[in-house]
Amino acid sequence: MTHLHIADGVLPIWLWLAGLVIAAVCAGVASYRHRRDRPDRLTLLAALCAVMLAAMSVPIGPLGHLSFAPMVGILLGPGLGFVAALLVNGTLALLGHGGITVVGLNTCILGAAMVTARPAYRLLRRRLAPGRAGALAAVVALTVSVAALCLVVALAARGSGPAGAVLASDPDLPGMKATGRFVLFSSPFWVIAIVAEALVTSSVLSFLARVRPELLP
Amino acid sequence: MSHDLALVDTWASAGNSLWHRASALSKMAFVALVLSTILTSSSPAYLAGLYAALCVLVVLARVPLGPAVLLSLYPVLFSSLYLLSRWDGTWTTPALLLLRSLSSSLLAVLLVATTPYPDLFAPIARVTPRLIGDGLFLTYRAFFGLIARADRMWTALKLRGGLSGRGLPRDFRSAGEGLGQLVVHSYDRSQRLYAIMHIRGHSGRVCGCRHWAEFSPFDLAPLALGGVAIGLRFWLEGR
Repeated sequence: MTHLHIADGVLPIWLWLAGLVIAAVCAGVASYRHRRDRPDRLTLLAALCAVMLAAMSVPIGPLGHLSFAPMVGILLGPGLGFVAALLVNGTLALLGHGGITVVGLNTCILGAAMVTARPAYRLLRRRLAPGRAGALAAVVALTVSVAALCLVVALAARGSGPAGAVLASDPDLPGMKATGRFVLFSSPFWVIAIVAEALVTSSVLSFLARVRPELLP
Repeated sequence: MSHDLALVDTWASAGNSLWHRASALSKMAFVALVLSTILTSSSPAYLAGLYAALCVLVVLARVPLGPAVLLSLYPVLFSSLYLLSRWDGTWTTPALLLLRSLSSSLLAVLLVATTPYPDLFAPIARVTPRLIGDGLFLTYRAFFGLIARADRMWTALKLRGGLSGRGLPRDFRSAGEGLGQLVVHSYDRSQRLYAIMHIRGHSGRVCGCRHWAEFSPFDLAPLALGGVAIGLRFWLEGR
């Protein structure tokens, strides 16, 4: 639920182009900062992206599924976490699950959760056990991600442009009204998704703390 | 969903149609050309015709139409909330957006179902940092390796009452423990993969195949059809 399942041709061109540029710059910076990492980090990154894709096949009701983004963000950290968001969204777009042009925006939205997850987890871990710290970190990370999603929807409603921006050029539907309607329709699903994701993250972290504590930050 | 996804790799690797024999680069050019018409077209008739043409191409490429169409439906299902919130009372806008979503998804599925992934990712790896290019290649590879195991794990969880539906918190905890096992399995697998790559003389680049740019007469079809799509778009709608 916390990434934008919107296909090509729905959002204004300037918005998805901006998303692509921001995602490319952030992923470029992250790649540069991690260029001297041990090579086995690359295989770990790919393996955790694959787990994320597998976790996305777990449905939460008819319109949502797990994202596993906070969990992978905690394990990989902000830089590699953002790259993981790009790889996952790139793979999903190729499989017809989301648009090719919105890969950048999806990466920014999912990446927001992954970048936030580890700092929040580390902060909470000082006082709490891994499971509880992970659950709260997941709530924080996904709230940031949902806020980014709402920002994208609000920007889409404000924009205007050529044929690509069908929705944005509708004069009878003011931007704030449309955004408010989107938030109203979506918020029950977000609450369910965030609670589910927090429970799953807590469970995975408790499991890893028992069987493989060396994997945790 | 995972069953359909697992089939994509089989379609791409085992297929031998004319579309499969075209190079990855010409098929990517086809996707870029057709996608540009999808993004700029405001004609539901053009988009409906394009979707029908893509269905014909899927059949000609000997990719099963039902599962391919099903895969292309996922974004429509998930974006329904967004479309509902933006409905302006006319049928044209939802039809336009629906057809754009369906066409672009089917276009991506056609590409990925007819192009083996080493060929698909080799050109991307040439223009992206190593972490991203090789990461994409290894992610795709790892995903298809993991998907059967994930399916078996969900089945085992259901059979043993781990996902009984009697208590949602308990179900999510069980799902979490299952995913924890997948994380541990994937971590071990990634370490083994790295050891194998190291033994085979990994030099910093994984994706080095050159088939993606081996041009043949089969490349004419995607390039010509991409040109036809652009021509039709301008002929029907002008600039």
